[in-house]
Amino acid sequence: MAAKAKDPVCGMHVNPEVARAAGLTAEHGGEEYYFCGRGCRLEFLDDPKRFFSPDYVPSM
Amino acid sequence: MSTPLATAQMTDPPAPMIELSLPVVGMTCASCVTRIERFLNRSDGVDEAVVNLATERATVRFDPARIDRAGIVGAIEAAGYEVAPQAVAANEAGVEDDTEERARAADRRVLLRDALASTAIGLAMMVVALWPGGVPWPMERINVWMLAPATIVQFVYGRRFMVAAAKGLRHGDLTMDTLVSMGTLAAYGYSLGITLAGADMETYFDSAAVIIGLVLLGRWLEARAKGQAAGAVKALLKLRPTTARVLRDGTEADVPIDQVRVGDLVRVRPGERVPVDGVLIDGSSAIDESMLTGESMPVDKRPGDDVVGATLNASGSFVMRAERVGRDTTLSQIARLVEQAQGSKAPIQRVVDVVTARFVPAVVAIAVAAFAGWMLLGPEPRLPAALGAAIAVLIIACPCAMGLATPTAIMVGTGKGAEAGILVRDGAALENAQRVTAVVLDKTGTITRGAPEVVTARSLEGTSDDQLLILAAAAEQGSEHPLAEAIVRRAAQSGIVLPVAGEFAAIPGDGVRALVDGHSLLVGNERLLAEAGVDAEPLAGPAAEVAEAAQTPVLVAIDGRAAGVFGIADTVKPESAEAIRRLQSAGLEVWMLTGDRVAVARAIGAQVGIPPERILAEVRPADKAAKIAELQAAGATVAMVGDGINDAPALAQADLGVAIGTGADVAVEASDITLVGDDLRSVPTAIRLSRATMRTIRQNLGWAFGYNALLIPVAAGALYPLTGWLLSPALAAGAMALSSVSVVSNSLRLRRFRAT
Repeated sequence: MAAKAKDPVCGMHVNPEVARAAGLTAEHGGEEYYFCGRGCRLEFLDDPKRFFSPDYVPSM
Repeated sequence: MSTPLATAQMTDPPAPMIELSLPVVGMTCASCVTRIERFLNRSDGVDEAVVNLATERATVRFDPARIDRAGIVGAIEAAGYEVAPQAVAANEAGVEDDTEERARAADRRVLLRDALASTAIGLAMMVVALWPGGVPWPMERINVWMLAPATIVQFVYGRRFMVAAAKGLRHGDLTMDTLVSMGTLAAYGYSLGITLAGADMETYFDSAAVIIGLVLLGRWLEARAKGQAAGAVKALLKLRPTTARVLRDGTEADVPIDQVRVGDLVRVRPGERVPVDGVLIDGSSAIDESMLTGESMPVDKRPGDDVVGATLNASGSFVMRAERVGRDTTLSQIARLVEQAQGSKAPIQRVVDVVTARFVPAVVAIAVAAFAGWMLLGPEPRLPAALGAAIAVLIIACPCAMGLATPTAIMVGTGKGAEAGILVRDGAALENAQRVTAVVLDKTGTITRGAPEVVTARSLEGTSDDQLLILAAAAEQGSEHPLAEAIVRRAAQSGIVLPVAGEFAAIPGDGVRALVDGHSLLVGNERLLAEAGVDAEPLAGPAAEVAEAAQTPVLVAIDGRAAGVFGIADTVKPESAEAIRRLQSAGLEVWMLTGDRVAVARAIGAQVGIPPERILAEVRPADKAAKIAELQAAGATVAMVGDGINDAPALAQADLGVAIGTGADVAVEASDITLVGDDLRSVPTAIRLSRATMRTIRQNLGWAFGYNALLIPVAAGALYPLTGWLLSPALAAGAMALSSVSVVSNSLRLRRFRAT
């Protein structure tokens, strides 16, 4: 099975292959991030820094 | 009067809130829910918005004066989601089949219209001719009046018989159409002669018209029955989804099903049908495969599992990779197979064909003989009686009931099988299945699940069962050995999240070594432990017990100390014992054939009720066919049931090859019957279905032949010298139509066959 990546917004495990095919990726600080859906990606793009704060607790 | 109304209109009541529930597409997690709720609640006019991830709906209470549906949809779209269109697009994949079906339905309507018109005209003429006390007009004038309607029936509604008969005659074929054409033309021609001569004699115009009407009615019933019998395939094809949600080039879009390519990633949402065959790669779900296997319990699917097109996604959303599309999908193959089987001829039908081919000339000969007999020996007036007898013989002879006897039953039987996940290759397979006296079952994958499972786990003191499983499974994660996979699968089933193993090393033939959570792990056989200097003596007892129960022992040592043992075995499917009992109570010998060791085979045999003397163990794959041949030489008619890969030669050798649990493989080619699911109970069901179908065929043939044997002599006038009975041609036509109808309805009774 393909390696799993973690959605930084909701904390779900995401299959990078699927996320890439669906356009559910974003780049930040030279890293590629994968998302479970459009909502998380848009949340991330609104304010990426928020999700790297150690205080941030994923909603799931 | 207008005042109160005006007042009411002027008083502005507090604006009522409206609640709207919208299907939202594209939600994947709780973040999506909060994001949509936030966007909605921020919108002016929205009182409250609740979004449900499971039902994929947003329920919004709002003030219609300040925001409308479009505004709410706009807010959801601004959040990055879509609202599903309310009306689901019309099913387009069915169009092709529908037009074909509509054309056939139109044909049937024309047939019924012609049949009713001909019968009505014929009956009207008959009423006039047979009016009690006679009609106040001379016969010759009535005959002239009847000429026009009779001619219309004969040459407009009855045209198709003469066209078909003429076509057949050019190839030297005598058919049902020949009989009908000869009979009605003789009746019409004789009546026309009388009318033109102006003779005061009765005519057969009415009989000719009624005959044409009733034969047409029979054809209509036949067409209708055929349409119903072919329904199984159509029902299967209707399951095909029309579009697939494909992830391609960074976007997700619904594309028509015929544009899905092998390798595409396809998202399947809850409640949708899987569009094509493929492998689940992300997410998990339970899938209802009952349309293929007849098994109604949804099957759990995880990444790596196969998913089959047209099955119903019952719970979660997942992404699959398309592997077979278009004509290659399981569904298309099944539909083709069923169609072939329904159109194929059972061996018994070839006998019927030979009889039918001689039947028509024989009937013509009898008709001529009857005519000659009445002309020479009959009472006066000779010509009408002789002609009446000859026409009755031609009309009552019914090769069509014989022609329908086998195909209708085969059609209903194979269709019924397909509904239950039993795909019969052709009529011959269906006929052979009822002759079977011995059923040979492959062990692995047929009686058993075919994948080893952890059956026992014993931990020594100082280690808990859970700890043993967690550590051993973590160590085995990197191994691809089936025994290792069994341990990892057992851990996954228990919902255990496995720690990561380090310093993993696989020792081929012996086991694995790894470091888990600071513990050094050895998982494998006795030699693995011995070579690492671990004393395996404490495990000798449990390991021997496990081996005694025909399981494979896997030993575990933690930090250089023997810690426990797993017993791993291929387990029996839960339905196998019942299936074997059903076969045995149906009077069949049940055998087990396996390459496995005798002890393992006997242990399995004891569980499912196969006695040791019927177990053929330690048979190499190449020798399996030879074993089947031995049974055949001893006089048995053998059905072989296998999972198709190494069993192919044995399946081909057997009188009836049954492939189980494959559905769409080459195994289908080697087998006569393919069971789509892996439930062994389908085998007794298939044999029962075969018996029921053949019983129906024999009843049909008995009815059709018996009817002809009985009524042809009566029609020829054989009873006249004894009782004075003579069959009128119109009555003969009615009897003939009835015989076809009875055969078809007898076949349709098979539809009540129950699979379980």
